[in-house]
Amino acid sequence: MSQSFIIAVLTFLVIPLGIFFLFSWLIFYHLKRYGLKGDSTKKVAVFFRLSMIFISIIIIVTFFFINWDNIAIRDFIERSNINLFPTEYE
Amino acid sequence: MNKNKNKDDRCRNYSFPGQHEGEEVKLILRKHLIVLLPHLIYISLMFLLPIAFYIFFVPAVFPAFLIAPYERLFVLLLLIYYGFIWITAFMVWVDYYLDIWIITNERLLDIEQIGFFNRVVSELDLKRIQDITSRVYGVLPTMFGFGNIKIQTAAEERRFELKTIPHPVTTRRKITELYRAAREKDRFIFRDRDE
Repeated sequence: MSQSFIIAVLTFLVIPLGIFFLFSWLIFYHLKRYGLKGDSTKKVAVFFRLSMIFISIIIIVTFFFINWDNIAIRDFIERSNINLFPTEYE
Repeated sequence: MNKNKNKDDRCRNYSFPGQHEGEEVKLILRKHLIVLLPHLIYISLMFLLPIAFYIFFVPAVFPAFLIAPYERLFVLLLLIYYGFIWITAFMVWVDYYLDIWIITNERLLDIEQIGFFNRVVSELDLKRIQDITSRVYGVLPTMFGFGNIKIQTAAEERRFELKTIPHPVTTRRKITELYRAAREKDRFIFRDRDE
């Protein structure tokens, strides 16, 4: 497993999908708990949850369609000013 | 008339946490949909932004995004971005949808949802209403038929304000009817007790 791939998993899968999951759960919870009983709140909440699952699945599929070894994410980060990979000075 | 009757019937099916026994929901009010317009414009602009970025900016500044492995990376970034836009849109909608006024045959509940972790619920006994004022002020409210209703209660209690609600005049009339019905019911209860 290349380093590019690990960085990519963290940046493009774990963090965004984690935020998606958290917010979709929050929205779903609020609609379910505070929505009026008898109207279409539940349907909307389920629709939203399903739409978020759908978007997440598309993101995961797209992610695995990318050949991460050909993408120079590591080079890009190293060239930028982020000190993720500190270099040793002689 | 028939439309109003259907609306009344639909309201009767609604229930909410903390509802009293025998209490019937008579009216559900939310702000006019026009309050969502600025959010809609903002979200539409945010939605169109990557498309404009792709057409005008990418070929000139990031031509690499148009070539093989990076093209898919761009699609992935786009999907993540649209995921966030979708969440933002729903957050706005939840904020709108859970801001609600429930008018029952006994009381008026003002539920205000501010963000996710701030919820204010106030209630007012219909019998304590002293004065109801509806106001439609300005070009847009007149055109789209929305306005405010102010409800003054007895003594020094706070004044209730129903802001940017649709059909304020009809709603005011309906609240007045409900107030009269509540007073009438109260009078009957007292008369029964006296007898």
